[in-house]
Amino acid sequence: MSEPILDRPRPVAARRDAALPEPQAQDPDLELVDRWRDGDESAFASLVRRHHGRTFGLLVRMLGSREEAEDALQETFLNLHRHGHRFRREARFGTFVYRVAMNAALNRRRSLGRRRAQLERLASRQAAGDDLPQSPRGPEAGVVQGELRARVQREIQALSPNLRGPLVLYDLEGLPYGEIARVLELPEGTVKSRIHRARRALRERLIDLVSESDDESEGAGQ
Amino acid sequence: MSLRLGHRRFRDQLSDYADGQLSPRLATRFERHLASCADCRKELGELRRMLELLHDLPAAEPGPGSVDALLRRMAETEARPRRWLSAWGAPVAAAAAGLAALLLVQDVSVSIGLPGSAVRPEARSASLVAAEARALPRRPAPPAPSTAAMLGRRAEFAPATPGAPSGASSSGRSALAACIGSRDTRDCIRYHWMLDLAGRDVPAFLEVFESLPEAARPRLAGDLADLARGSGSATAIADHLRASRDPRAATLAARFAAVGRR
Ligand SMILES: [Zn+2]
Repeated sequence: MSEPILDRPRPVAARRDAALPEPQAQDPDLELVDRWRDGDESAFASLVRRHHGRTFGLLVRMLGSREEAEDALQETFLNLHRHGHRFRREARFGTFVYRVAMNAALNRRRSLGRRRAQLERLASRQAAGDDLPQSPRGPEAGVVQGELRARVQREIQALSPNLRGPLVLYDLEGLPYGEIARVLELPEGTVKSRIHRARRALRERLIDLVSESDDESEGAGQ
Repeated sequence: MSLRLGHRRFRDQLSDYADGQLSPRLATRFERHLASCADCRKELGELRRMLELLHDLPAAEPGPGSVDALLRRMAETEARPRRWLSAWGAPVAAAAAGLAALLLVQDVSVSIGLPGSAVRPEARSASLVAAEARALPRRPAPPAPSTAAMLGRRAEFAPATPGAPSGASSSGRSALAACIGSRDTRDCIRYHWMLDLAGRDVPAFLEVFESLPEAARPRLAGDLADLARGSGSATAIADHLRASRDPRAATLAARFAAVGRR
């Protein structure tokens, strides 16, 4: 029996839980939210500072470009500023931020023409290596790795929005199913099956990069 | 159970197995299947390599100063006068609407398809159309269900508006749904919102309308009239515009009246 098969995966729950505290735990943002609701705008600024980086990261993964992410980030915090006072405590504020950000991401450039133009711009920028962080390694390896990452990011973009959101939140942001269900306002079972479908779809899109030659797949190991 | 059926069941567990989410008992069974199934081994290998590629994507960090720039933009807008929006009463909503206005100016000219992007400061309120449209949570669903979802959720999120919004009628909703079926969703919501405004606050409506570049107004008027006809409110809006006795409203009133007669 080949070695990878017996290398049973370990649960990744610990990593996931570390990404965001459990909802039943005290929401670390509540104090700021309360101050903001009492009219303290500086508390809102603190909330923006606290969630800015993480939300930006999510938006880059969702939209595939820093430029798009900056726009969506602004939209996110404007919408939050506008509707945040209606935030109910059934979820943590951080979850609410993600929900607003996902809505901003999924509704950007919705119409077909603009979407197509965006994809074209994205592809050309990524081909030029503008959009994705370069590797700290030597220039040559960096170019190859940059191209690989750009390809992966492009294929993520090509997933349908229904699948892209759950995949990004689970596999890239490391959120647990329950948290994703709250962000997307979907049943947990739906989230799970969408993640599986998304992975399958992405695997097919990246098949040239992930498939092994025949002899290897017959159990020769690595 | 046939071998093939078993394979299908195990294949559905691949993702969970790769995540270490199967119970020890199920994982043992899965591994037993894996030992005898080349297809599942192949797929598991592909899945793992794909996950490696995903996990290899570095987290994107915002540029230095990015949060400060964002806060500055928000603060600048915050300082602007709130004008008639303060009629909404809720100070947070009004402040935020003012906030939202600034950057949406350019967006409205893009989305409504206005020529040129130079916008005078007075045009700020036009952007509130966009702000209002953005106020609605938008979801990645196909047109029909998303319409229902947006309309259903509007009450939950949108600030309370005085007066009965004309758009709340069921015919208004179906006209909006039809519009969304054939046009950009955000445009439709903007039109819908403007019609709503025309039905209850003519001066505010005119302010928004006239804040748009002159060249863009006829097309916008045409779109608004079409949508009003669809919801059966064209004649009522024409009457309302005329009743305001505002000379600026006369042309628009005639336009609504014309489609109302069709
Ligand atoms: Zn199998």
